[in-house]
Amino acid sequence: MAMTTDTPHRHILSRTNRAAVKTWTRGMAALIVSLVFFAPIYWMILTAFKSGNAAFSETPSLFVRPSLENFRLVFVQNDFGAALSTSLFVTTVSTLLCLAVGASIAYPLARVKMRGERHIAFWILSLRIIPPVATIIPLFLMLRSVGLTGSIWSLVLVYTYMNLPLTVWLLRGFFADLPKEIEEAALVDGASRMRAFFTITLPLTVPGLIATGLLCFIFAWNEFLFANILTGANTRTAPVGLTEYVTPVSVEWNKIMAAGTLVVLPVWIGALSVQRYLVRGLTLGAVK
Amino acid sequence: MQRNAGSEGGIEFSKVNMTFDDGTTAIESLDLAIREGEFVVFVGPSGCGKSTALRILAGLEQATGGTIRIGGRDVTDLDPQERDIAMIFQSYALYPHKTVFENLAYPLKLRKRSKAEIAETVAGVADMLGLTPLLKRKPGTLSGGQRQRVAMGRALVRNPKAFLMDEPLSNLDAALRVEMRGEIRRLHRKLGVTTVYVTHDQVEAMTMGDRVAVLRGGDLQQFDAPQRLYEQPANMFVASFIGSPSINLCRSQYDRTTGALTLGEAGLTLPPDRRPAEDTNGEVMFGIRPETFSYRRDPEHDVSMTVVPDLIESLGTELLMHFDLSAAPVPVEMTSAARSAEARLGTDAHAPVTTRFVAKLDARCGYRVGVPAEIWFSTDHIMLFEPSRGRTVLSSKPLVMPDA
Repeated sequence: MAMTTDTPHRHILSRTNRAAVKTWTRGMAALIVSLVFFAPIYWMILTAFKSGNAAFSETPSLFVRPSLENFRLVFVQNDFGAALSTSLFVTTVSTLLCLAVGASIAYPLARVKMRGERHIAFWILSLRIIPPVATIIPLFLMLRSVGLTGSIWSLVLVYTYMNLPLTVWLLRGFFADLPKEIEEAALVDGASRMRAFFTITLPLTVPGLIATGLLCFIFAWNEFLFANILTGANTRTAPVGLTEYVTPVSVEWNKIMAAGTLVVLPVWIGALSVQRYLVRGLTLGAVK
Repeated sequence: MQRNAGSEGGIEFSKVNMTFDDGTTAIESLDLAIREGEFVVFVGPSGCGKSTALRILAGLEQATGGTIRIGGRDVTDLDPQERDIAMIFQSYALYPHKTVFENLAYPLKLRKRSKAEIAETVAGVADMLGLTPLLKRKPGTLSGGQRQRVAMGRALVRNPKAFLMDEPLSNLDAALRVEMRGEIRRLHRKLGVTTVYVTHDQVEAMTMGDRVAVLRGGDLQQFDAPQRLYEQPANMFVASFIGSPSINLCRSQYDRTTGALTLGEAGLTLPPDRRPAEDTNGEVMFGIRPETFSYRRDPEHDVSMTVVPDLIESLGTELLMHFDLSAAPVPVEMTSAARSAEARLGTDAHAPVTTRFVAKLDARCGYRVGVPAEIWFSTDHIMLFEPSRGRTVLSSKPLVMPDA
């Protein structure tokens, strides 16, 4: 040790200290970015809990005494509960339908060797590239001719149609990632193709199904354009319901913020509770 | 050679062809009859069609031609689940979401056995393979060797007509592989179920198989007992594939009138009982196994040559001595994995005129690198192959006489 004492120290900070600074800097950067993104949501929630005229005050306050008055108003005056339950129904049914139909298209695409399968897969995904506005008039005319406009089933159909390409694309990746030998083992063990699919393949792709399902749910839940055009007064969804508070005479910010909070809540809870699957599922599917 | 074995519990491939969509031929007109209760190994370099043959037998791949019989029944067009066979995959292919117990029970559940019967059978198999303490665990928490046992257990639970094993030991470390090799053989002796085992490892093939089928480029080269493959290979490919270190090969000239064999600058005369068939003359391929050399003269090693070792590798009681022989090497196509039509035998001016040889000698010989050494061999161990297709024209004398 004596021989090394006169070696000059080039770094003021030790290795561990430098690592700590690095971590801390990164943490701060992440915090600042999150604040920027979270600020509007915080503002929405804050306003939702402001009572009476506080929402319209010239000098905004960052902290308030919470009140549930606005939530009571949207439920009692505007029947926002009906809009929420319509949304929940349409979104859930279309998501389940999407997974069922999507899986039955994606599985053969992933497993059966056929000519031009890559082209088929890409063609399916390319449907997602078409801007929704371009399809809305033809869709409206088609649904009107079968008498479905104004019905919530029109939205179920349209949301399934809208989310199907992405569902097929993602599920195809999940099925392809599953080693073929596991299914072959089931076949040799005595299972039929169907049995092998339901007892082996499907349980093993649950993370993928959950991740895909959540994405479908979010897209359908937040959808506004189709919902606005295809629903009637009794079948409006939550995002359409929000627009009611903008009237020719006034903009009811307190109600918009309360209803907006209610709309964000289920997606938020859903995303948090399946976050584990979402990250794993999306990265798994992304590799192949 | 081929007895009519497919009629009983055996397996029979007849004129089986397999051509993939892209036009590559994986198997060409495979004829093979496996007797009931026999342990047969398919061996060959990668791409030789051994795994494809097994997958066709399992029904996981559809042959483009020919018929397959298991236990006398034509199964060519049957799905895997109707063939009553069990398979062990290279990756084990355990069901990751099921416990060890559920993995073992799955084949029985599919056959609608009662709960009590399933529990009893699984317990018996688990006991036999030492899996009892692991029954409640999931495959993800098991070691490689344990997973291998579960895969075996899943095959054993239901008394199939045949076991198919696709390189089941290749993911294990060397020591465990040797242990499991013995265990699979013992299990086979105990159960007596027809087994087809695929491997690329010729040591595994030699040690495990009752009979071994050597494949090359989709073509069956030889189907015989391990000892016969070693001593009487059908051709140069089999001779070079079987045995480790592999057989020494070089080009030589043979004169049928005198029986003289010339290897580059060296020469010897073959005794009358060790000469190839009458029509062999001129260019022949010469082969001799490294382990047939000796460092001293005795009745079984009576021909000598003096060589200069350039590398000596010690193996403990034995050593491998490498040296150059002044004779031209055989064309690589004749021993390579791909099956080529015919080897080109031109006299290329730039072709090397020496060939690497290896001799496996007793470690007591005391030979050193760079110092000329005398080694002995016998004409009994010489093999000769005809030059165009590598067919054996003279095989070595059998060490052990076959049972009959």
